[in-house]
Amino acid sequence: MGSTISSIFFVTDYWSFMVAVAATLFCFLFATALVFRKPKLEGSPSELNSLKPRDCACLGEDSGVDSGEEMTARLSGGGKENGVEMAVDRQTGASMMEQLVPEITTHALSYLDYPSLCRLSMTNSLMRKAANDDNAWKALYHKELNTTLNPLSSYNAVMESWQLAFSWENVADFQIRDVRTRVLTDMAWVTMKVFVDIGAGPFNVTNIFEFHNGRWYMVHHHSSALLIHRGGQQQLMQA
Amino acid sequence: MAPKNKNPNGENVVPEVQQKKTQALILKSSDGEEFSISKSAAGLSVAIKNMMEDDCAGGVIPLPLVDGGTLARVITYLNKHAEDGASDEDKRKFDEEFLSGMEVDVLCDVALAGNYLDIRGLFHDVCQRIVNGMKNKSVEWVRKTFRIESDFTAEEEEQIKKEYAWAWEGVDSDAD
Repeated sequence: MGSTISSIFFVTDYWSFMVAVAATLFCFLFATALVFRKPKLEGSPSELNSLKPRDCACLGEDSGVDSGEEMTARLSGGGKENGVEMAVDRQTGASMMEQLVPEITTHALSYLDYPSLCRLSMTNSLMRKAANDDNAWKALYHKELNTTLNPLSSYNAVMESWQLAFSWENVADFQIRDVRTRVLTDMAWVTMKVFVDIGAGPFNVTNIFEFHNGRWYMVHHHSSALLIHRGGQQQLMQA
Repeated sequence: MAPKNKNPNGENVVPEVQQKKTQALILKSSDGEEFSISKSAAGLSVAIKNMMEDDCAGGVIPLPLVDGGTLARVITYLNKHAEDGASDEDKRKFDEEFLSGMEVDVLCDVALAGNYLDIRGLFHDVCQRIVNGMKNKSVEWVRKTFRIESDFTAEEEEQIKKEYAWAWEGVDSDAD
């Protein structure tokens, strides 16, 4: 009897001990996280520095400094020697665009219209790579198509509607028939009948694609129920 | 993690001599030039603002990625945008003039600095300005202006010209 009681006590002690250990561990982890957070913040400039050791090509000419009154500029030694090096660098220098870090290039390119973006991609292989970046095109898609088409006309709206369509649990299967394609130089349209096995179909579907920079982009999607079933009820999805 | 410079009430104690200094920060460029800038102007840079909030903006702030010429330009921009009396219209006009005088190289340097110091408005405007120079220009013109050297072979070049003939049509003249 006595041993049973003591063993119950032991069990209780064991668990409270474990709880205490867990709590201590948690506190320790939290404290460690706090300690490590600060140096990381302070270290970020040098982190950036090591990412891109660049040669500050602009240094050679300071002629553009026109803000003398507003600030007190103090030249310290050593700057001149650097200045000479930089000037030399600039002579042999590669394209400024190539010196920009990729994130900046992508960001800058997202401000271009797409014919100009395509032209840029034809200048050399590096620019081709930069101009083919999906993010630049995504930004362009957001900007261009947001303003020109209605009603489901933003990138997010289109993606959401596709997500909805694909996560629709009832759709176990669908079949596509009568696919017709017509392709012009940089535009194509595809029509088809879609039979969905929940009996709501068939749908008449039209997709329009534009060809940009070596890839086909869907710019318009329309789907409406065939009139045989429920006269005139339409489902519209446009991109 | 013992608190420094705190009085018994937990407030920061700043010696009187230093009090004036706290109104300004010193930014040091990669080539060792030092610039003083008001805290309100410097705070327009999210990177510097974060440093100030974390209390690590004391003394001189080294900016190893920004050279003196570029930093001077950035500071001119920040000062204008922190100016009390400046209306949005004033600032817009200033931005326009500020950027219109810059060569591509300078624009790229300012873009890098704007990104590094996280000055959103400046960064966006500069990027826009850079690409405006490419709009509706011929491939050759873009190569020349942005010093992009073609690494395509003659055949590849021909291929591109044939395949994307439209890109060579209706562009602005190379003369400007």
